[in-house]
Amino acid sequence: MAIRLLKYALDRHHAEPRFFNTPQTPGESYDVVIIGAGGHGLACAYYLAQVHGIRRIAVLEKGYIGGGNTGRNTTIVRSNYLTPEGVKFYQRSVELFQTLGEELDLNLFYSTRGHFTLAHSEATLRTMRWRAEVNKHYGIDSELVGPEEVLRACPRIDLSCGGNHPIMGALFHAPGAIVRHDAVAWGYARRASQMGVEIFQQTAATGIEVEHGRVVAVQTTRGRIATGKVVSAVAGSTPTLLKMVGLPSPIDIVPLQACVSEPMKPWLDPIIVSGSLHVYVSQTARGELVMGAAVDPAELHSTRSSLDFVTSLSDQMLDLFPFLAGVKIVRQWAGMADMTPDFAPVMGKTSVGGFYLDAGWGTWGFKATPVCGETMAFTVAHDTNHRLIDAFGMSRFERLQMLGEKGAAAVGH
Amino acid sequence: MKQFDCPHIGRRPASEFVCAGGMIGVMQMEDADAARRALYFGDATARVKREWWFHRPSRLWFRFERDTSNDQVLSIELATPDANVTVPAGAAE
Repeated sequence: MAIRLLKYALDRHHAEPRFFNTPQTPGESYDVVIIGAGGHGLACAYYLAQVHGIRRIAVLEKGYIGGGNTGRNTTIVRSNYLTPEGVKFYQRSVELFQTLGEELDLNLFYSTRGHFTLAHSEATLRTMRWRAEVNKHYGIDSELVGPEEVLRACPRIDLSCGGNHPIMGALFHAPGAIVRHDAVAWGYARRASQMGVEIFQQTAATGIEVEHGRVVAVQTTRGRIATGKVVSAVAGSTPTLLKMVGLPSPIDIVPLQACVSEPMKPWLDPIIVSGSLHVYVSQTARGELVMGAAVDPAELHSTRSSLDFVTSLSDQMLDLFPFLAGVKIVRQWAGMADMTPDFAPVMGKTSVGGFYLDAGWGTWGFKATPVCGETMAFTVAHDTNHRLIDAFGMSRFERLQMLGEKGAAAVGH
Repeated sequence: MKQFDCPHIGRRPASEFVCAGGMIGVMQMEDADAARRALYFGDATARVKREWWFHRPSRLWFRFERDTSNDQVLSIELATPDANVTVPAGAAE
């Protein structure tokens, strides 16, 4: 290792290949065009190439790889959801995540920490018991624990929360983990790229041509691309893409903000979430606290950050961890979240032939990256919804068959 | 701290308000399909949008016209002060 590093440093011609290809001009046609080079879009490209042998794929990205919500979330992976459909889906994602570093040959810094969702009221405890039972039924490690267990795992917590809303218990999910989010996108991009997938950064989709109810081409800022299959794997721009194919949107765009503190010595091993206090927090390998809260109060198509967010988040954090009073926030940012009425995604085939949707990922999308790639690749390759995403179709709003996942959202948005 | 310049109650912090969503008009009970579509589907691209906002301290309802691309409030109008409308969930926090 040391010799290799030394040779690399002294070598003027760096032999290490680029992580992914950076072609400038798209070809005239592709079998599949994926819009959005975030984790979801790149994972879909990877599984299409790896599992289904479809390699003539263009991935379009108006910014840069992983620069959207893939790089803006708080990196938490868990499967303790509320509906059977959600639990099975996220469980598959956790399984894929656990071996993903090996599969992509890249250190993703996947770190299993244990995940506590705190309850400050009887009502929250009731939902947690329900969640724990659904989870156990599907073989997921999830249980209700008392305040003592929370204190044992996290000795610095103030169980009384300043006397305002004492912690009465928690839902504990041992497999809860954090993972380096950029690396997930880079790993998928590299592998897909090696198999011939072409990723066009700084290339926006400006229109989608539909003839006789089927997709025929995508208009981009770098010219027209003929294709029979288009996957929308964006966040924040889903309503815009839906409008291009003439579909109405069940999704509203609301900003979700997050921030990090200055680095500290490791003191927080588990991931701590409090729905009532609207905070979730974990400590990264380099010591920063990554903190998130509820979505912004109203629809907005912008990634601006706000002072209101950091002040209210800090206020709630200090209820949990008063000793952090002198710690500084060093960075904050926002992403545009696709919020759906029932807090579940909108995925699969649509009423437009060849137009597939991987959307509605609101504030819960990063943890689903691998399973979204796997199931969307299947759906695109076979033109049939994968069984794990069958319940997530857009027609559920017509049939009023909602998948109420609000009770399993990290915080009460 | 974001503030709204309200022609009725003056300059107030945005945190005193609760957004209760866009205006979808009065629904006709006999057309359930249209009501459902109006509830769940719509144009959600960046646009100028008319919304209901509730001011918690004064318990007044307002109609906002807001540009969802940049969060600029274009107009604020007082809804009927004695309108018999429910307080939105979460407004009591």
